[in-house]
Formats: sequence, C-alpha cells, structure tokens
Amino acid sequence: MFRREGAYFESFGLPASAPSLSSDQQNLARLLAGDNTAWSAFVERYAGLILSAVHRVIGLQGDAEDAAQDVFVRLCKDDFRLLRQYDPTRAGLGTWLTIVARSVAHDGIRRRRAPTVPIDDAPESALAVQPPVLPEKLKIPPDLLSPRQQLVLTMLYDQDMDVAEISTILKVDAQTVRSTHHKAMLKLRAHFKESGER
Amino acid sequence: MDEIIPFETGRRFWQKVAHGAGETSVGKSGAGEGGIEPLDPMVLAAYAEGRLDPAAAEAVEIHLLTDSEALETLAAIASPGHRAIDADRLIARATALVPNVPSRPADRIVPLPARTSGLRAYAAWGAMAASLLVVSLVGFNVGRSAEHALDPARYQAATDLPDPTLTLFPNDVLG
Repeated sequence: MFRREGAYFESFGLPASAPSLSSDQQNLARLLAGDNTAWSAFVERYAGLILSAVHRVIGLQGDAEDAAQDVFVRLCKDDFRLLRQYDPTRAGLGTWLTIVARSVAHDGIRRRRAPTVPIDDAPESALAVQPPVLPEKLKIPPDLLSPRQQLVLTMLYDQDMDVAEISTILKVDAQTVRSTHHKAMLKLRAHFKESGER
Repeated sequence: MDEIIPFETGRRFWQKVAHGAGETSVGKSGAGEGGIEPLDPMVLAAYAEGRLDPAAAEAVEIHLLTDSEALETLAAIASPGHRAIDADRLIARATALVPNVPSRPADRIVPLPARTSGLRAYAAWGAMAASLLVVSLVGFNVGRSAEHALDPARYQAATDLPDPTLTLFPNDVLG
C-alpha cells in the first residue's frame, strides 16, 4: 500500500506541503511515498558518508565497498522497511545512517570471523583447553558508582578515549568529565579502604 | 581538599577492580555478541545528538556499559575526521538496486475524461427523462389500440355506459 506524499509529510508532524523540510528530507519523503526516482539522489547524497562509516569499522579486514553496498541493500529491502524506521524528529539522517552502517559492518565482521572447521580437520593442539588465567578478584558493589561515573571510567580506561571525546559524547564540558572521574575514583578508593579488600 | 587522582593511577586501579568484578563488569563485547540486545539505532542516534530526556539518556548509558560497539559508534560520530572516499563505484552499484521508474500504480493509470457538470448535465438528464416519458405514453397507446382492435366486444360495455350529457340533459328536456 502506498501512502500519499502529503500523508507522509503529516506523519513527520509537519503540514502536508511541508515547506520547512530540508531538501534531503523532502527527497526521503518522496522516496518513501513511492517515488523511486528519488533513490538515486539519496544514494548520491549519502554514499560517501556510509562508505566512510563502514571503512572505519572494517579497515583492512574486508572490502568496504561491498559492506557499504550491503547497507544500501538493507535500506531498500522489503519496500524500504529499515529506512521507514528513521524518525526525523529524533535525530539527523546522517547520524542515523552512520549508526546503521556501522552496525551492518560489525555484522559482516562477525559473519566472517567464525569460519567453521570440521572437528576432524582441526589439529590436536587447537582442541586443547588452556586453563584460564584468573585476575585478582575485587568486586565493585552495583550501586557504588552511578551509571554516568561507570561510563566515564569505561570510556577513559577501556575504550581509551580522551577527555575531549568523552565530553563531546556526553554533551558536558571537559571539567565535568574530570570531576566525574575524580569523584568515582574517590568512591572506589574509600570503598576498598573500608572493606580492607586491597 | 582531596588530591587530584592522575589518569594513569586511575587506569591501573580501574583495571584491577573492573576486570575482576562480577556485578559491575564492563563488557568488552558488542551488541549481537554474548547475548547483548542491541540498542535501537534511532535511540542511539537521538542520544548521540543529545535529544533524549534525562531518564532515557541514563538508560542508554547503562546499556553502553556493556556494549563497547555502541560506545565506539558514539566516538566515531563525535570525532570530526570523516575521510573523503571516492564513492563513484558504490553510487553506481547502489543506484541500480532500485529501478529508476515511478512505482506507484497511480502514475501509470490513464485518467478518465472529466465529467460534465452544471447545466449541461441537467439538460442531458432532463432530455433522457422526457424521452422515457414519450416512449412510455406511445407504447401504452399503441398497446391499448391493438387490444381494442383485436377484441372489440370486450370494450362494448365501456361504450354502453350512459352518456353523462344525457343524464344531465335528458332528450325530452333537450327536445
């Protein structure tokens, strides 16, 4: 069933004529309303962004162009089912497409990462189970740190992000990131000093 | 006043507590691995642009603790360095995915001629009704005449009825 173009604009919460829509959004609205001629404009507009996003995930692990093509295949599959999930009132199309492209690229890596080898063909050494090396166990109580504090520590120390990156992602200034880190560390120190676990 | 904790000290301490921790272990895997339910891309996009209310944003941050892939994606969106890549071949391939023709059936239907309206429409309907009336009257009279001609006795009684003029004006009155 094809929707009227005006009805699609109305579903964006905008008047049917939608004079305030950007040309990109008008093009997308035309595409989703059934005008396939808008597809080529959409591809030309976003191919570079999608290829770049995919390239940053895949790097040298595969053909970024094939992965980017896979993104476009998914976007137009089943009468643009995935593309219809985009909501312009919640985020920009470029941001959403970057997230979708990276997700598709990660899926591709996961598919390639797990090649199946018949067990008879596997060498004996590959089947040997190595004893796990257990780290010294310390436990952080679940409510000791706030989610924001945990996230800052994770981004700093597990993701190796710098303060500027974190402040951009969390939409706070750099001093707030440093302060959050400091408070979290004080809480952890105090907890382990009191419990004598160190 | 507390001393400022240097990041290097913090890193060593965090590695010691976080990677042995049970309850608050920080995930190194991404969504789609290890049973982590991936975030809806629309929600993550809204978070990346700071458009979520505080409660929804906190829910996303809790998810991010166990989804390193989503964290990397946020970092990629936040960092400005998108490299310009030649996408000409991709554009050609992706454009071919959807046929470049209008797909709406309505675009391929030849429209009917516009209906006449106003006085012309009334005149046409009036002419049609008048024709029907004339045909009905003619048909009725023809049928009646034919029946009369074929069976004149049946209509004798009708002709034997007293002449109303004679009732009102008898012959003797009229002379």
